[in-house]
Amino acid sequence: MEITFAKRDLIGAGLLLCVGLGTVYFGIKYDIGTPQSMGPGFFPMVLGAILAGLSVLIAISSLGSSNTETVKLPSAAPFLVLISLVAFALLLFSAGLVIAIIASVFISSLSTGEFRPFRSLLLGVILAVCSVLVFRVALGQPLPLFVSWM
Amino acid sequence: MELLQNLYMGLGVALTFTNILFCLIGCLLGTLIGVLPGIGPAATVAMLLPITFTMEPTTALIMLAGIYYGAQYGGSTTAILVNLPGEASSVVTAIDGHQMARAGRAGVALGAAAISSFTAGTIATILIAAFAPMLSTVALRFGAPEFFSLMLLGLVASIVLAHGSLLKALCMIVLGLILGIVGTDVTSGIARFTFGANELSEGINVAAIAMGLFGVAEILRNLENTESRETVTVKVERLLPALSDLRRMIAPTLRGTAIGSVLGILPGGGALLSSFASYAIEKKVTKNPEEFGKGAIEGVSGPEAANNAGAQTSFIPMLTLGIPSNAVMAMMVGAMMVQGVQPGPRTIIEQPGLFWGLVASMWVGNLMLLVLNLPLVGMWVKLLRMPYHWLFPSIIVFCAVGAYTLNNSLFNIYVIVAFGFVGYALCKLGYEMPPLILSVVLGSMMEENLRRSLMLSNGDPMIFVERPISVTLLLISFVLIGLVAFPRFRKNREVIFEEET
Repeated sequence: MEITFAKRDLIGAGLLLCVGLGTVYFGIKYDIGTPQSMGPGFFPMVLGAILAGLSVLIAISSLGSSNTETVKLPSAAPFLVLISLVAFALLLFSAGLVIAIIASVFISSLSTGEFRPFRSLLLGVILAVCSVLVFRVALGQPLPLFVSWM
Repeated sequence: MELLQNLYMGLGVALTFTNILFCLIGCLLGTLIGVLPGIGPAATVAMLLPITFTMEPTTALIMLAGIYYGAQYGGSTTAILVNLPGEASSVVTAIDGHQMARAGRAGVALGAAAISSFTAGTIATILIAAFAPMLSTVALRFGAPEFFSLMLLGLVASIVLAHGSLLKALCMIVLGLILGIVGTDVTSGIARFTFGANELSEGINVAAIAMGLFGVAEILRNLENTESRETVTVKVERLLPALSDLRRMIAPTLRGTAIGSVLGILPGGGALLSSFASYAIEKKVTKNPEEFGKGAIEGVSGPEAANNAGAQTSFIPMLTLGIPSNAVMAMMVGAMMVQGVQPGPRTIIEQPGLFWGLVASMWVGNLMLLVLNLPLVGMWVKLLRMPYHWLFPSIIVFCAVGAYTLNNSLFNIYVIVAFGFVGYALCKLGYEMPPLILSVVLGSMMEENLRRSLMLSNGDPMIFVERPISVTLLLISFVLIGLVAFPRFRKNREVIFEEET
């Protein structure tokens, strides 16, 4: 599925508008002070206002645009990669580095069209070994290798 | 001459065993990622940031620098041999370089690229050695207002020289500044935008942002462009250009070096812009215009010299003023800051070993690349066949473990997830990453300088205009913005960057 540049610019501008307005809101909450003696909220408020203003400009220009180029909507693949990272974080301390890496490789390999379990397992083991060598042995970082969950 | 003395001292630092080793690692790694499409120096530097924190600052910078200019060498190799530029800055090299390869002159093209790059690298090293100290002396007279105006100029220039929508780039800059605010405010001591998370009290970890935006987001984008790469294997025979070729290479190499040296210093500049500009100029001044696009050697040596010179001189603003001129430099600033080295005008005085060692190592690295790459060409091409589904899980794992080691905290893994998503989303929506990372790095410094300036002047904003250096910098910023507003300049901008896609 695809959407036109104009529509995507509108969406993007809308998102940034929210960020800008949110920043202004919080900026005001943290005491703005005066330009002479700026409080902690002054800079955020100004920046948020500028961002909001710019996003409105982008929104307006997108409404008038007749650009028919399109861009594809994301598939599931990127999200699988992000999930694989989250899985790593969740598993690192509950199952150890090795399992976390293997699980992560498995999940991220699912995101390509061609998933082959044996190859992913092999890659996972190789990466686990390399990571242990680089991060634990060479750099001395404390990382739990295996965590027994008994 | 003081210049030679400094370079001699620098060589003393650069030629220690550790530094040579890491220079070699950097250059080889750089060539490797330059060869492989789908991963570039920005992503690699981002991924290696956690590792550099355990190293000496000088050694870390030497390695990271090697990655940056090494990638230029690697990118040209594949551009010539397989018409697949591994780096954006090698796109122009591919135009004539690959044609030369098809005509059976692959070796000559590779040799030309390597020799031009090396010549440019040597000259650039001398230029850096000559100009940087002067620049630092001027910058020593900078106060808070001058720094603010300079950073503003840096951000503005990076938009102007970047491609794409001006409005969108401005948004990225403002967004980056906002992200830089997260954390404890130095002046008032209260926590801003942390929403209760203790891990954010020092701000969002810049290395984690870099890894998310450049490492993870790159992969997410590449997963959508799964094109199979057909490798046209071209035979590589003699590696040295003939005398007639060498004669034709001299002028383009020198011109390219000049172009690269100038454009590399400008914010937003660096290898990419330099190579494009050089190609355009070579095409204009050549005596054989029909050859361009069909295998003109000038079309290889000019851009190659330019991109190497650009890569090296882009270190100058970072090392002398503390202002990064592109995304890779921004990350190096981040790497230095975490090491406790604040890049700025004082760096060259307080850390001469770091400065001159780095400068000297660039020349050493160039030498290594010249000597090693030509024989290793076959190996690089074989590596091109590595399927992406082996590569990208490796990058993901590396980012994951690296993110954890930043602070021994799982939080940073979630940060790279968040910024991976943000980076991907922003790219999809048509926004660019480099201005974002630049302003994140500069953001907190800008606010500090702004507030300090206003405190100095008791709230009078005219202080920025009353001081001569500051007002000059601000004027240049306005001129640049004005230039972009002019339709004619805008058209030229688009034309130059249209060729890139």
